[in-house]
Amino acid sequence: MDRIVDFGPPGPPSSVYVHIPFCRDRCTYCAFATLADDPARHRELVEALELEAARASHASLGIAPLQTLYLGGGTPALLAPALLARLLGSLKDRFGLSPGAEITLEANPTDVDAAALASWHEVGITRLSVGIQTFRDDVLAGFGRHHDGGVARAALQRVAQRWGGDWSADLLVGWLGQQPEDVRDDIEALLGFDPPHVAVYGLTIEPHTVLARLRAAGHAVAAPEASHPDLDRAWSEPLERAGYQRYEVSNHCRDGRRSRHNQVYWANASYVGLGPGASSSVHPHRWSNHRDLDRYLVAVSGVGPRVSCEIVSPEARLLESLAVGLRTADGLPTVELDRRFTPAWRDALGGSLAELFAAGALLEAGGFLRLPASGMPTVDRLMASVAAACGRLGGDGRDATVGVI
Amino acid sequence: MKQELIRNFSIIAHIDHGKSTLADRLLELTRTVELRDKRAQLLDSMDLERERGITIKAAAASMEYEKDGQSYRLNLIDTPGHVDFNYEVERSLQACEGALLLVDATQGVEAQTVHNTVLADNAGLTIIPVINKIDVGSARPEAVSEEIENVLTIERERCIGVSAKTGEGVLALLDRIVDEIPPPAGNPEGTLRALIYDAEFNDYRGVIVHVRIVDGSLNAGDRIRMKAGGTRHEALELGLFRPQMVPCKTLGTGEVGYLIANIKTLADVRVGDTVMLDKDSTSVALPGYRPARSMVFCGIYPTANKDFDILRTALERLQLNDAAFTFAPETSDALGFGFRCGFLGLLHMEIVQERLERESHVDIVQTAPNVTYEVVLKDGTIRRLDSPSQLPDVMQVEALREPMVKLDIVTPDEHIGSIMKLAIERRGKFLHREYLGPGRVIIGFRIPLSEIIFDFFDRLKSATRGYATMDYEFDGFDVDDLVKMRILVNGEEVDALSAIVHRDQASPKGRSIIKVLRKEIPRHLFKVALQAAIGGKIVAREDIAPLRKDVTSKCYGGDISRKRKLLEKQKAGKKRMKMVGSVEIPQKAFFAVLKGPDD
Repeated sequence: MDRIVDFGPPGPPSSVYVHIPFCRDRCTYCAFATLADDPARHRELVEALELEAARASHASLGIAPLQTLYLGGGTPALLAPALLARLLGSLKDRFGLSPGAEITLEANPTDVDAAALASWHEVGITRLSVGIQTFRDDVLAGFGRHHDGGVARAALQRVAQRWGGDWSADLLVGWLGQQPEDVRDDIEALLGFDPPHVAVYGLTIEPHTVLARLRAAGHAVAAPEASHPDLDRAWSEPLERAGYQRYEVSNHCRDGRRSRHNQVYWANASYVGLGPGASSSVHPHRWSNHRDLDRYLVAVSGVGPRVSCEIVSPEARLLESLAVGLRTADGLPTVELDRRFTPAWRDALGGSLAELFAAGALLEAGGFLRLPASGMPTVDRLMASVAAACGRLGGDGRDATVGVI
Repeated sequence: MKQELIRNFSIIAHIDHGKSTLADRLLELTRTVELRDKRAQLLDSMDLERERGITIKAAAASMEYEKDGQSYRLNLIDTPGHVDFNYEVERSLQACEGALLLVDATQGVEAQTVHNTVLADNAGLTIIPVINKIDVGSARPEAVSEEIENVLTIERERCIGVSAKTGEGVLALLDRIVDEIPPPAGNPEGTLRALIYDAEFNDYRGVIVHVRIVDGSLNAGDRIRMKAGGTRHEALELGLFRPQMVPCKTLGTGEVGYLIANIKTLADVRVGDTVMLDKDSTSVALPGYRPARSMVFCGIYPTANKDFDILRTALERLQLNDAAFTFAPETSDALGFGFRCGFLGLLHMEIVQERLERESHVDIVQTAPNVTYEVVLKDGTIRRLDSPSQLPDVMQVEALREPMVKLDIVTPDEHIGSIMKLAIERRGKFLHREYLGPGRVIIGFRIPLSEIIFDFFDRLKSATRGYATMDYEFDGFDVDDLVKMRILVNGEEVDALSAIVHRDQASPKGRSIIKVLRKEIPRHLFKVALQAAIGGKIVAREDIAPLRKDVTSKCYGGDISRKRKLLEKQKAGKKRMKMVGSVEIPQKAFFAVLKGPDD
């Protein structure tokens, strides 16, 4: 196979993710780096984030004025308005902010009251992502969520009425016993609030979660796989009828109001993550931070918070690009693939593409490489075929020096 | 060593009856090896042999044993323990004058015991019946000696009880070896005739030939010739197995040892051949030599076509060490370029496959095994088929013949019914049934080899709760109503999956093959249609419904490298897949088709 080259994404990183690990409770399905909330430590974390941002701006990452900033968690909405203002101010001073930048905050329904909405608006948040999961009280209680259906409705009501900016609501599908009617009920309830953006996540049992332990002990913890196609249809069809575009496997929006930050991931472009457990990708590296808050705090003022760092080979990057890009309705612009990987990328994938084209599993049209409309639910299978036929994968297994950023 | 002080013997036994343990004890008690050198089961030198507890290659050990003030040399020739290596067993026995017939006191006479006793008898050996494991609580030496008398017609008084594990009775056994096994005959003044009873390949020394000197003597430096092979060599080094190789200057009449003669490949050395002096053109070959003949074949293909040359090199290397293994290039429409490989039997095939995987790191696809068929053409010529895909056009074929075996099964009598049912399902014809002793019978069948090469033994074991044992020998070719069954995947014939089956069984076999394939082939993004056809007639069909959903829901910053690692893992899993058109068929499927669905 011809070696390909990776010239990297088109521009310097201009997207930052900030991880705030605190949560009131841990949800049974959650595998993120989280820990029980401790307001006394919020300031300590924000200081560390400021320090990490300072290191990042001094390192040769070439971070450009931010186009997108995403505060995720955990529950970043737990930060007091003043502290949130300070953090955003520091990041803005450090990196600069492009006009019209998208600044997203993740929030739980419990956190969404009128005062909070006003303060978030004031500190510059432009977009909210509200974790509803479901309106069913029993299911929410089972997941260990802090809200119930009533709280969720009230929160959405407030957001719909008072929040002037962009917003999104998350639903979770595939819980134990869930029927297509249950999915349709949730979707219908959500659409009543006219959200500009809806994300629907299939419940996945991640390792080291409560659900994973239950499953290992022999309990059924999720809807059987055989029911997934029907559950999928139960949300994708009503959303489509209501005028939402499924622009990524799990993400839908109206009037083009996509998440700009997440599109950076799906374009396999560069981004910098700050905070415990955050991941970063800046050509040609990929790294992630210590997940443990204490270790992160110690490391950030010492050798740096990176716990692993690798140089991603061009072949592996190409597969990454396909794996994330084919999840989107647009697909991948071939002109960008040609620029980034040189036109040799087609050869690098061996015969795999030809067969997939022939089978109609992959399309190339209008300058884009994409799936047929029916292909989204099976993109993992497709990627497995692409990867299997690809000559080399996974880079050289080289670990880059865990450097100071 | 004087001829009359030499005793050459082997141990014949059913698998697991304690042959290797007894060999270890003999080596220890004669101080051939010190206890501190001891690895469990000294004579099984390949890892595979030790892991599986079977002997694949013959091995030998020379021991010194003193009796009544006289020192004797006892040469133990360890024979392979499986029917696949029957020919090697015969040759090894020919190098001996006696055999220890080892029977487990808790198990009794088994199919292989009977079979091996017949071989030893035919070779004219003095047999000492040895009942092993007398220290075990469930031992029933009396009943076992009665079985030995009834079935093998060896007087029960001649049986000797030992415990190879504790060493009990083993010294008495050594005395009986000296007293009862005759010293080698043969003419020490005659011209050299040595029997090649085994050979192995060593990376540094080339071929190491195991020989038994029948007449005359062999000296280091002699110019020698292989009678059947015709090649000429110089005897560079001679020696004894103790059991490691110890060089000596001369091997005299009746002695057993090794010969190194700068021979580069095992293909130049044929087990059963006669070694003679090059200058001596008159001497007559020792009887019994015949080239090893493969009875079971399968296709071995690289998963990636570019690995063809690497695979060829790997097969050549294996053949260096295993002259009975044969291979020739073949092309399959479905699998591309690969090799048709021939084996002595099923176990031999498994061993080769395992060694190939361990030693070569090539990913291979192996097709289901088949036997050799003989096709009689309309013009009267007879051709051998190593693969169903070689079957000529049906218009040219007068008849198809398949290899038959005589099969002996030893079992507790309560399982006779289920064994009869199994054998008859497999087209077996009942031949005879005799009681070995109370409650144990031996049943004989004549049955097509193709019916027992795959899962027969597993089925037999499950039908008899593990109690039955079996052994078989080749018994000619029979004409039967055989047809070729083609398997189509999405309308495309997969030649590597086609099989020759009996017409009466075609429909059920077709259905069962399709059922297995349906289980083994993963779901695709499109519907996969599986069909079995005899001629133009579809006898079975099943569809694999397309995959409807498998995508993981979330994919954000931290998920991307995870996603890539998952792809890497899947890629490794897909190494054992073969693309047929746009359908991925796992290696397992090619092998599983003959097995039939699990019931």
